[in-house]
Amino acid sequence: MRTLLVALALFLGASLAAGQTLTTAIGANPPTLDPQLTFNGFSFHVSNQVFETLVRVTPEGDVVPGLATDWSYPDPTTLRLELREGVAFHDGAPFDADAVVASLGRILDPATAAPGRFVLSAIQEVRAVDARTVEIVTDPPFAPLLSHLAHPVAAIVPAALADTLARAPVGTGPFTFVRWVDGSEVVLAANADYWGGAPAIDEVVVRIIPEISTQIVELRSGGVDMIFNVPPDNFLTLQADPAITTGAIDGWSSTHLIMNVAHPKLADLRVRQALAHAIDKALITDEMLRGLAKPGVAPIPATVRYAATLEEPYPYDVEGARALLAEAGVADLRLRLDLYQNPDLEAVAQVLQFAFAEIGVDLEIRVQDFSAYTQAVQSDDMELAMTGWGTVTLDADYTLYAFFHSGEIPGNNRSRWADPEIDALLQRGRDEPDDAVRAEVYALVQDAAANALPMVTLYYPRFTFAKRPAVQGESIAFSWILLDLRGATLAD
Amino acid sequence: MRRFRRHPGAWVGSFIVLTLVLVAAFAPLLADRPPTQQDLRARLRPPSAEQPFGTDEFGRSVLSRVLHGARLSLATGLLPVAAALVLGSTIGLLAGFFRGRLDAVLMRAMDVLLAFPSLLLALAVVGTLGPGIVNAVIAIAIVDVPQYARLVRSVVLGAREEEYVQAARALGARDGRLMWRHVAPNAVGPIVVQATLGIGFAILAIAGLSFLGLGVQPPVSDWGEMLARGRRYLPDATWLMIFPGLAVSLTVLGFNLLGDALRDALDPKA
Repeated sequence: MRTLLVALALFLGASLAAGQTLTTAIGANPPTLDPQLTFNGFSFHVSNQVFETLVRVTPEGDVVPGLATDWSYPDPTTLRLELREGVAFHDGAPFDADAVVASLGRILDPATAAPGRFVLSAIQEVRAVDARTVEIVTDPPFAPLLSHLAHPVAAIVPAALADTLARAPVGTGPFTFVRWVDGSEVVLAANADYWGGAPAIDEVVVRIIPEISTQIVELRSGGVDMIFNVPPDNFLTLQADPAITTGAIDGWSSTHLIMNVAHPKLADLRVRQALAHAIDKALITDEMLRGLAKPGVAPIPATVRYAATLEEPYPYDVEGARALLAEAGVADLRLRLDLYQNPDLEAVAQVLQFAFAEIGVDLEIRVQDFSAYTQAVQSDDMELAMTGWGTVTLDADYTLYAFFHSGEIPGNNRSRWADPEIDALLQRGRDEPDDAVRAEVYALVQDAAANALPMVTLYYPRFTFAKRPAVQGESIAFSWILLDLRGATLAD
Repeated sequence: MRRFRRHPGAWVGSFIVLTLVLVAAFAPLLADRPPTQQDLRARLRPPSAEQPFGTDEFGRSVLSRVLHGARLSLATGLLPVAAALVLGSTIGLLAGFFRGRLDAVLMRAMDVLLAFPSLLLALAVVGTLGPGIVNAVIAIAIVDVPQYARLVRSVVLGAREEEYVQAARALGARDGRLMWRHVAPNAVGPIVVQATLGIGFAILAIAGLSFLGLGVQPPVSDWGEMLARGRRYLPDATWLMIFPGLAVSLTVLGFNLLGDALRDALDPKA
């Protein structure tokens, strides 16, 4: 009996000492944990726990201090940032102005071949004024610069460890890297020396579980505490489960049907209008997506700064669509839709396939892996493409410039929409520091796009997550990649 | 033939296969609506009097999709087997009849194909050719070829030494005549058995490739693709997987029973 008690005491002691572990699940192995070498959400979800940016975004969309405590514009082309005191990288190296210069210098160096370099490419120079002050120069002025510094790729990394960060990340963040078992899990431990105070959670385990149904089973059985991006049908089931807490928030995402206006089949505006009229957006959002998305008109959701509120110019109207096709003299139209492997997008593509069949348009859906898809949409014979997109900086410029500036053809502007007036407006939005002027400029661009139809903005999906009720105090800004566990606790 | 008729599996197998053929032939008449007809306002409805097999995530009739899936499954079961049979038998006949260097080259090529697990080889072929039902059929055909080649070769090796073949040769029959008139007919029985069993395998393999997204492409339906899509809704909408799953199982069972019965009936030693 006594041995049993001793054993029990030892067991309890051990479990107390082990502390609290928060387990999340994600759908794929991150390709790397170096935030500067990737543009992948699975990487960012983990790297954002280890690394930090100079400024951060709150769930309300405000830009607040991160590694920088204060900032000002001495002149329109210079942003001066005051850096936080008493911060160190996990290996003990000091965080100072030189570290910032080296880190931003690394992502801007073309030799680094950073996929997210474009986020910061407006920067001409980063200089250390003194140990706690840096200045970032953009010429011409770049109004959305501050928002761009909150992007996960702009995380401050120790440039001296550049070669090993991918597998062994070392940052300044609330959690330190412990181990990464490929395809299985990434383990992080609380950073006791974190400048904001050590997190309450002792350990974070990010498990890699590809099947969403498996993730749900694990959540219900307690093997996982939190899952993200739950498909609508599963979400509603979990919502009805008293043992699970669910959340859906308006995110930064939008889903688009991109139309190549340079393609002979789609050059006629009436054809594009007919396709737009054939789509019942509300049917998709209300029935297919169970109300977990809002029908879209403007290319960016309302959460993004300068998003316009527009009247739908091409409401669901099958007769009108058929008439437009007849007027354009188009019969037996056969179109190809390019898509990457994503069950949710594939399902919506099949809804479009049926909707287009109703107006006599035959749609072939070509689903490929992401790299093959990227190649396909950059080739001139691309016709239609579907894509999910996130306005990660929460500034209209990020999406509108990428989608509609002629200089972005065919990289991001896959519609091949080239309009000198639009180009001028987009440049003006970048140069202009005044909020009211920027809002006006972007309203014009969004209105023009909604009417000229380089793309149909199908809907704005809401970001969904599900967790065990014991998980409290976590904060999520717009997307699972901005999961903030600094204040998280486990109640049981 | 009498032996076949007395075999219990023969009746069950024949019944299932015949039903499948009839369903495939009359699918449009049996189904209440086209398999691609969507109704997003009636998604994921459980089986009911109106929709005996329920509806899927697009509000499409699962009954209609299972019935139409029979057409594709039957075609994609028969086609690769037929192709593999013709190609494999020819290779086996040539190798077994002529022996020597030709035999060695052909059979080593077959050994190379046999060295890979069949589904893995099919995956590699589809991976090279690209996804799609035609390429999936080609892949399964390639995977099947060695079986027929080896089977026919072994029969031919024995048959060419038979006295009546030697006699025909002594009477001055040419190679071609010997091969087709005297040797080849010996292989018909084993081939029929192998092919019948092979159809079951092919249907299963095509369903597997479709399950992995490498076979049929939307909106065409096939049992494997239905299983793959239904998997996402498994805890809540079991009917999405039960009906196509049953259809695959029954079909493969039918062809296997038929094949077993044929083998027993045609086996001279039994």
